[in-house]
Amino acid sequence: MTRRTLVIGIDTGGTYTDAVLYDRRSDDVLRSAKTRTLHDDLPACIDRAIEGIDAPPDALAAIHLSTTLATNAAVEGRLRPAELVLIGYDENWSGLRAVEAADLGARRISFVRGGHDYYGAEQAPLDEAALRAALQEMHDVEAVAVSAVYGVRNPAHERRAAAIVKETTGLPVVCGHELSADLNAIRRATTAAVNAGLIPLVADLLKSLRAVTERRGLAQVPLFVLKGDGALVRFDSPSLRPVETLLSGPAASIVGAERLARGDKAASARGYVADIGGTTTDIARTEGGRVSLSPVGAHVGRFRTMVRAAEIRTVALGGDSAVRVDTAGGIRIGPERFEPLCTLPEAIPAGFCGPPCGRGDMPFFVRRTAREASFTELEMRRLLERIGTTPLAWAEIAADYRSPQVPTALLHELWKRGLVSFYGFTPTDALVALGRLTADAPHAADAARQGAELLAAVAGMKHARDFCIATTEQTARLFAAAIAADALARNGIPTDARAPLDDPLLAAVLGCDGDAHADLSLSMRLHGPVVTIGAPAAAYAHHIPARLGTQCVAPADGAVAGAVGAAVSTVWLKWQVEINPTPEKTAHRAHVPGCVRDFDDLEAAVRFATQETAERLRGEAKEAGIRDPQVRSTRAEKRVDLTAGGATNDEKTLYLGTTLYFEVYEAQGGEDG
Amino acid sequence: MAFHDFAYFAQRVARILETELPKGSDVVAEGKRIADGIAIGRTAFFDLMDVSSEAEYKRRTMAEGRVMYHCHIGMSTWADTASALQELYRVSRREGFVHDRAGIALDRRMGLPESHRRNAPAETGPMLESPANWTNVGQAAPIQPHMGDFMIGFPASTENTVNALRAGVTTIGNLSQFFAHEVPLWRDQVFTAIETAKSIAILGHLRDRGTLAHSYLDDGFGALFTDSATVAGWALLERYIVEELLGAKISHCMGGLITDPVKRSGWIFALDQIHDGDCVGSMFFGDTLSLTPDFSTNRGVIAEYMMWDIMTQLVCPTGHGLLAMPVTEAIRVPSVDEIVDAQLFARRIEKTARRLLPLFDFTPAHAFAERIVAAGRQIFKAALSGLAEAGVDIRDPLQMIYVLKQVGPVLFEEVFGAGEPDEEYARGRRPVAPNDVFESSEACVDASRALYAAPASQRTLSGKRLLVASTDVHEHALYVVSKLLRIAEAHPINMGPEQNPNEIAERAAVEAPDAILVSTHNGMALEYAHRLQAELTERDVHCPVLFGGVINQKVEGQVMPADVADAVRRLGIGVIGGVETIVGAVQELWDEK
Repeated sequence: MTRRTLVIGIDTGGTYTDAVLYDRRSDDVLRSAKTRTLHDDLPACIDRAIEGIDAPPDALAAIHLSTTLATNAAVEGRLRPAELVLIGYDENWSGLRAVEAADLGARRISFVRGGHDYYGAEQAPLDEAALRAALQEMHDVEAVAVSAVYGVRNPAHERRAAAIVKETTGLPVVCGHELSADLNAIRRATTAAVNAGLIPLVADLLKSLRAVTERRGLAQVPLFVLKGDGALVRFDSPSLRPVETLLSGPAASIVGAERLARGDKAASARGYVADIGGTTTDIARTEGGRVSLSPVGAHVGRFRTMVRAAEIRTVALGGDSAVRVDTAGGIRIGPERFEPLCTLPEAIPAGFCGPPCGRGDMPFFVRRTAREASFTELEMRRLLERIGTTPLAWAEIAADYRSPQVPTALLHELWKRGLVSFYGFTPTDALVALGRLTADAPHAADAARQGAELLAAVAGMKHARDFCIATTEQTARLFAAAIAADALARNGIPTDARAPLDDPLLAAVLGCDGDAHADLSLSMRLHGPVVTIGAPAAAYAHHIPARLGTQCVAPADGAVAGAVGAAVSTVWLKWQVEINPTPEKTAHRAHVPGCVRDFDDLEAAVRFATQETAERLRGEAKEAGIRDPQVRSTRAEKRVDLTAGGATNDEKTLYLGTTLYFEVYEAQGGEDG
Repeated sequence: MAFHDFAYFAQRVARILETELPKGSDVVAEGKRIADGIAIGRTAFFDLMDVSSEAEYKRRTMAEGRVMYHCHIGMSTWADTASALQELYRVSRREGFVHDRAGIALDRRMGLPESHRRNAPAETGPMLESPANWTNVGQAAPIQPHMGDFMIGFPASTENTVNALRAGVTTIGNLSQFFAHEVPLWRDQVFTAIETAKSIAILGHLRDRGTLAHSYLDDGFGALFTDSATVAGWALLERYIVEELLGAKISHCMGGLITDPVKRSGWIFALDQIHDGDCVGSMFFGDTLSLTPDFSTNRGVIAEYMMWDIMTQLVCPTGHGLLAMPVTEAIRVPSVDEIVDAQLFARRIEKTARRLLPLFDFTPAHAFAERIVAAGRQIFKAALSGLAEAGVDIRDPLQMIYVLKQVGPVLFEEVFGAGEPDEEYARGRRPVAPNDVFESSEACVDASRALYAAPASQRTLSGKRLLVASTDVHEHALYVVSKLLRIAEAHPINMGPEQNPNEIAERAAVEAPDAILVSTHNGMALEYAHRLQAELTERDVHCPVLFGGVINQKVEGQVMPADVADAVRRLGIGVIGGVETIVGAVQELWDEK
């Protein structure tokens, strides 16, 4: 029998679903495929992706899936109805008073007396009668979430409540302490509720996918799903917490980009990934091939969760950013977006004309969007009626008015309300006009070139080509500024990221306008490469390194980075455990998942916590798909140096507690089976 | 801040009475049984003075018109303390004066039953760890020992009282500490109350043998009331409980928080009235409020109050031993030499005091005493009838002390205080005779009034809601800050003293304030800050937090707490230098947000 070394990586994104066939042994991407995402039929879309890859079933080790199912359901409010039981919470907390159950991801909230304190001591006994009464009143609910105040310091009430829910309703139930070891009762509750609301959805998807794999003769191939922190988990694992798959898309892209850029080199200690999109660019950092995680949990739609996800900084800069020429002839890019001229429908270029009065700060064409208007201002309605769904030249509209200011103000108002979209020159057009990027539309390059010619004249340049080159350089400089600002911010140095080229520090680093007259220039050196992905990535890659003092790589398969990321990801788990002094400071209290225990000796507490947690994590890791789990734990003591203030002569520290960090991963060779 | 009325008081008392307590009479009977088995020891001092109790000595000395002196002594071990006492005695012999008494400043752990002392953190002062130590208490030197700290009022009250009596110590306290102090690692309040009542009952059964139940009012609620009249009323209430209900003779002590000379003399006159002319005082403490880190300044402070205190004893002998504080008292545990120095100093001042006495007029001090005792009697009556009305058996000493402790000083003064109702004042009443602590608060408000009334301050603070709380018993800053914030048109939410981090976080979660201001003086700023942040995070509260007061942290094995202002700042908490810096500090934090 063939050794199973092939993995299908699938990334269902907003527009496209990408798939790759990856060989673990050779670390090569063998094939890739792209298909449109069918939001209302994810299984069919995944089926097509698998079909497109055409993998030999006998050699297939696994299918890794990065799915937007959870993210979309959360953002679009399609969570299934869940009950949220809050134990020991006060309804009068401002964080609960101001919100509705839906803001926490639930259909209804029940408040029950109970909960623990900071030390894990019972604050009030669990009101089981009230809980049972609340469960009685519950109807049309598909899952239940339970969260208790300080449940992470003592899970006793959450566990008891979960047992009662199971026993009386038989519904799936999820507890706050299972999802995070961090403090913040409201976020834990939200995470638990969103998780509960996703359980039925994810179960449905799993069922459909099983049918797909069976039909394709892949029933024996295990199916894994990617989490927001970049780790995989078996799709059929009882330890799968659907909420953790929120924001797995960005994690997949970042991991994939890093891997594609690395080639056969070892993972760099650090690196930056810039995912250049149409409207925005996402900047993330990697460390040892994994994404850097945000210290605060993921915000998805209206939900503030505690889900670990990549720390991503989004800047309003992309291929579709508006390019304008100001009155001084300077090129300004973003932050608004235009529809690129190269995407104009075929019919337009014949009647192509620039903005009125030779102005370089306006769009060229206007088109009505699908959104329904719900306003009554007469002048605006009149104007909107004139604009159809085929792009209309701005100059044509302006001709109706005595002054261009009037339609400009009206159109901007319509644009703000999402009723019209603007076509204008963009960085993408510059690349298309220069022939560095190919566009789908037949007259795309013509439209882009015509736009460049008109703006070049406004900017006082002779050739459209010069204007396109200047635009491209300026865009690259802005990308570099965004990455530099991110690197500086991560090191505690704030800059004005909204107007990076006006920020004195960034200007000095990037050598912006007026280089010749500057008294000072600073050079920066990023530790680790910058990997750019997204359609125009390659065009900008060679402009960036000089400014950031590092190499910049735009991998050839960048367009399928998400699928590659899914394919190369592995199963691993992370958890943390707190050991704190008891209130009297006579003992050390280990807050281990599932129990709380006191020890006279800190080392005994550490031994106990390590043993208990490692055992639990090993079990969970096996369920998650790790064959031979290895547990690594590190220890951090919270000690504050009291000599720093100069008040004491002796070296004294104040001990506040110990945190144990655990990581479980596959032992060498465990994965190949 | 909302002030409470009698209805709230009655409700609170009803809740307190839900706790099951044994009958007071059974506790008193148990005290009698124990007392029957006690033979009061004889100290070296008794032998020297030919008396059988300190009360007997005090009455005789008062009749002779002689002023008595007290010193406070507590080295790190009993052996060191004993040799310090011997040195004191040697000097007094050499200089030709009597050293009347010495307060033994024991380690706070002595308040715990012997079996619990091992686990508790060490503090300053000696421990009496063996029967030999106890026997030696009265024999180390012919200076009468006074045991006023961590004896009565704590879980170990009974065993300590029995040991002290056997050693010949007949003045034992301190009831005030029962109300406002706790020992580490002990939570059983009922047990503590029982042992406290029982130990005083023991003294009651041995009253004829000259025992005195000491109570230093400034160690208890006395320091936490804002009105001297309330302190007088409270003293009457303590006297009622100790003398009427437990049969012992109470010996009241004051002085540490009184600076105004009129009030120092006035309080001696008042105690004389409160005790119906039969006051046998234990000691009168020095003016700790005026001490500074500068020793020369302190010498002046000590000379001033000693002069007053000596003259007052000459015109109204109440038996109080006067305390000449060593100049180092505020900074560290004084050495033997420094204690000796202070004693010599006091004897020299006595000479001047006797010479100048005829030139002084005590009329204002008498008027102060009249005023606070008259109002105090009203408060005493109102409190007794109020307690009875709320369902307390006012003939049961155990119920009385347990309920009063749980009620606390704030509610007590709000409900029974004698001042006219006035929302502007800390307890909702204008004090009949504001005490010195309260008056210094008013002076602080006046000093910063202009700053807070300035348009720039009002622009920052107007309409803002600020939660104000103290980690310990200190109310001074809360009062000052709240009043100043109101001047700047802000809305302070004053939570009051002794707030735990969870209580502050819980209130902040409900009120959603614009900032939290925490006053701290109890040497645990860093631990408190760390926990407060966790408590706020758990409740999803993210408003700026500012600490003020004394930002230090006690560390085991180190006498002086460490300055932790920088460490607290590193936790993301602002630190303010004084009330005048609050406006700038909150503005900065709001800007950051």
